[in-house]
Amino acid sequence: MTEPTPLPGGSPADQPPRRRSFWLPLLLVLILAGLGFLAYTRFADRYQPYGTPLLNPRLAYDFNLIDNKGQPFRLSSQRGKVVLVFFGFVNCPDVCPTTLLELKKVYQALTPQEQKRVQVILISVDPDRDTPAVLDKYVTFFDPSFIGLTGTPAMIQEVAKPYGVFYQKSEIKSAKEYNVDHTASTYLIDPKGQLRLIYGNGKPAETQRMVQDVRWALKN
Amino acid sequence: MGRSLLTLLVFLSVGLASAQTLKLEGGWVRLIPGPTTAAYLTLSNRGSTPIRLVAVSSPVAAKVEMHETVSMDHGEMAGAKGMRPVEAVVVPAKGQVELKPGGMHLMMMGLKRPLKEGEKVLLIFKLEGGKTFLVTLPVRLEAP
Repeated sequence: MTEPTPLPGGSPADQPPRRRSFWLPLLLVLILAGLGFLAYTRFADRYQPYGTPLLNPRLAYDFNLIDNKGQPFRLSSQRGKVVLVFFGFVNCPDVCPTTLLELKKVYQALTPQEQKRVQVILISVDPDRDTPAVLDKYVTFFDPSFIGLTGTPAMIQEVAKPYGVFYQKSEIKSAKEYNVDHTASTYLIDPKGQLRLIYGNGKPAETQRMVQDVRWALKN
Repeated sequence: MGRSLLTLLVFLSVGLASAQTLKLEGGWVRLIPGPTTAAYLTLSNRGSTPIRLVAVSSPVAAKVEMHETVSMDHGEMAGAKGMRPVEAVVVPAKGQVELKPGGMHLMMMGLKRPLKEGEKVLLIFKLEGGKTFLVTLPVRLEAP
């Protein structure tokens, strides 16, 4: 700034270093930008999922529970499928049926071929009341393919923790009359069994964006 | 059709007798298997004093409670959803209150029989001051 502007026809010895100091950084910036662009287009997954991605996808916690037909169920038996997991309970008249209806719409918006590779699962946070029979009536009401899982309270607790799901009874009036407060997120597990995306309560209402995420997860 | 019938019922029992006029819109009862469900509707108050709905009952349920779905805001339960009973649903003067999924609802507990899609369910609303009126709401899979 303080350097005086060289006069026309000034000392030619001043010119070359000036040019270099201008062009060299520019060239570097251009090369870096080019490399960045190449890396972005060639290697990066450009799809921006609608769900919140896990910074480091990891294997979803594998578990054994009892399904709505009374049979043992292991999560890893679902490899090759996209699994949408929601934790809820049958005596939950507001949040749970709203989410399950949202997931039903997502499932039904898929092609029959895609549906074969997608599994919606409700894990009960109310194992005291949600027997396999009770769950069966409930989940199949939304879609015959949906699976409901239950177990002993200890089994459920063990599964909920690694997913970051918390729940506790509230408004307890008797052994059979109470509410359960619970984390109401939906988890997307990819065909490799990795936990990939998390949806906060209410997000699955965007059916088409959910469908896009499911299709992306089926391919990745 | 259903809407005007509801309004008529309310006016017959409340509107003519008092300055308060309560209007009901878009009500429905959730179709769901199991012993617990929820009813939703929008209540509008054309009057100049607030109206308080203090009790609800129904012949098809052992008990109906006014509930609100809330988000926990502290500790490890932060972000979790729960339901809390509310003492009354207050419809402000010249205002309205919407009972809808994710918010306030009428929790119908101990259903005495499975409900059928399309059937009309009777609910008895009791206002502060003792006035009661009848409401019939259709059973639906989701909001109209």
